[in-house]
Amino acid sequence: MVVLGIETSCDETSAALVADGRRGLVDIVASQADLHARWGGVVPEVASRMHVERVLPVVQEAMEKAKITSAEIDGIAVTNRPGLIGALVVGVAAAKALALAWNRPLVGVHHLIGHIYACYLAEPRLVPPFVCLIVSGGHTELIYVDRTGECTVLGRTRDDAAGECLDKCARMLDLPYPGGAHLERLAEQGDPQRVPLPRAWLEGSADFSFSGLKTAVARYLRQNTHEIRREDVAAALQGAVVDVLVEKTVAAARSVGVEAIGIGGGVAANRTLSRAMADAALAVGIRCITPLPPLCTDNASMIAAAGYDRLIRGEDDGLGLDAAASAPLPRASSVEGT
Amino acid sequence: MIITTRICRTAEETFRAGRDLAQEVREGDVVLMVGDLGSGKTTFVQGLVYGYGLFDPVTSPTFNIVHVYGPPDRRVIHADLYRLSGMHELETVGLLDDVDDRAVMVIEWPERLGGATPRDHYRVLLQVLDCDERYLTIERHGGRPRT
Repeated sequence: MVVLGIETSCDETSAALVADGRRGLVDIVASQADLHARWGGVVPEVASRMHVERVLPVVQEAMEKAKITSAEIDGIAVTNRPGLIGALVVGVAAAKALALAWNRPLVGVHHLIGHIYACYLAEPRLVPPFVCLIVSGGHTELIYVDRTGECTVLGRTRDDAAGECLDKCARMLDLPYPGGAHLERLAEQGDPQRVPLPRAWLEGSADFSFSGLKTAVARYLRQNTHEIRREDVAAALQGAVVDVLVEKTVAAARSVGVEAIGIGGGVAANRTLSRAMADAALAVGIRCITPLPPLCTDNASMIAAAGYDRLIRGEDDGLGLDAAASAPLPRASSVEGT
Repeated sequence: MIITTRICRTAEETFRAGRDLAQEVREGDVVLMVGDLGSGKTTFVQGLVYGYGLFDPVTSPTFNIVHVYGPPDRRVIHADLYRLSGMHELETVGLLDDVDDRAVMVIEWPERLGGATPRDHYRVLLQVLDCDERYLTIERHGGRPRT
């Protein structure tokens, strides 16, 4: 079964073809990063307009590259929640049009569930239960995937997303957009020990908090105007974020008793994070699955993979499919307090 | 008209100041939050929403631009214009469509509103002092008659 995936929830326009839910055939991503660099962040309206221009060309390019015709596509999966509403509706409208024209079933996919499926694409032998950390500019969610594949939230940020904290601090350090990547490069030359920054552990909870860290960086920059070494600040900031993400994820994985951890989202493409997570997990006998960077950041392959599991059961959301800006996953009940 | 000035020494005190303002605001009110990155705007809003009797978790709306808390008849709309470039965009995002008499509207980075700033509003200003304390000023602009 070949599934066409479409993803337009933020600033990447992506189309992908995935065979049998686990084998990626092709993934085309038209990023708008250059465009948004001028503004220092994603500009929602510009994003929507670019999606309109690019969505069908990326679908066409994906089909041409994979040498697959519409007759060989068995179903369509599209990200329909959560995200920027103006961006989501573009992908959903395109997917509906194709479903109608080709007379194929159509399913909507939750963006975060998509990120979890990136782990299956990276490691087809992965079977639940496992814990997945999704970290990006808009999300910091620790998700428990139970034996049946059901996803519930063990912990999430109480204020800023980890990527948002990194981006905003990068802006304070006068780094260009996208801040996270520039910050990682700068951090390589710095000494994290030279700038003391706090870590919010939130004992007894799997939730996160990063706004205090952002405030601490602002304070440090304000109070040490003369002798600031930006690379040290970058290294200390990245270290503080990585420490908390790694330690809390491994602790949560141990407390629910799983043998694997997956990571996803734009921040998961940070090598310092993926290395630290793999080391910490391995030390307690847990496997860590880190998809390659193109599968960590937004992409349509993960959406096709997630859609496959619904399409194979004969599900079809049809032309009534709606987009939603907000769609929080449910909190884990049986494992609460971990 | 300045209705409050106070020093907030900790995040808890900023939260409490937000909770106190909740006693004053009512449905239909607009609260503009002004302050640099890391000055405590989201913490203040967390206190405000809590004080308004809503227990929804309040997180930074920077990425999604708008978060909505509470039931339909007692909503707080929490918007963050940090990523928007101007009015035209504001309309596209549909933020202004959400203004209704039954919701309290809280707006971070209201500078982006320009001429669309509602005449009647509270303006909460958080200034970071050298000693890392926050100097909080709350002003009321315009304002309908109070009973």
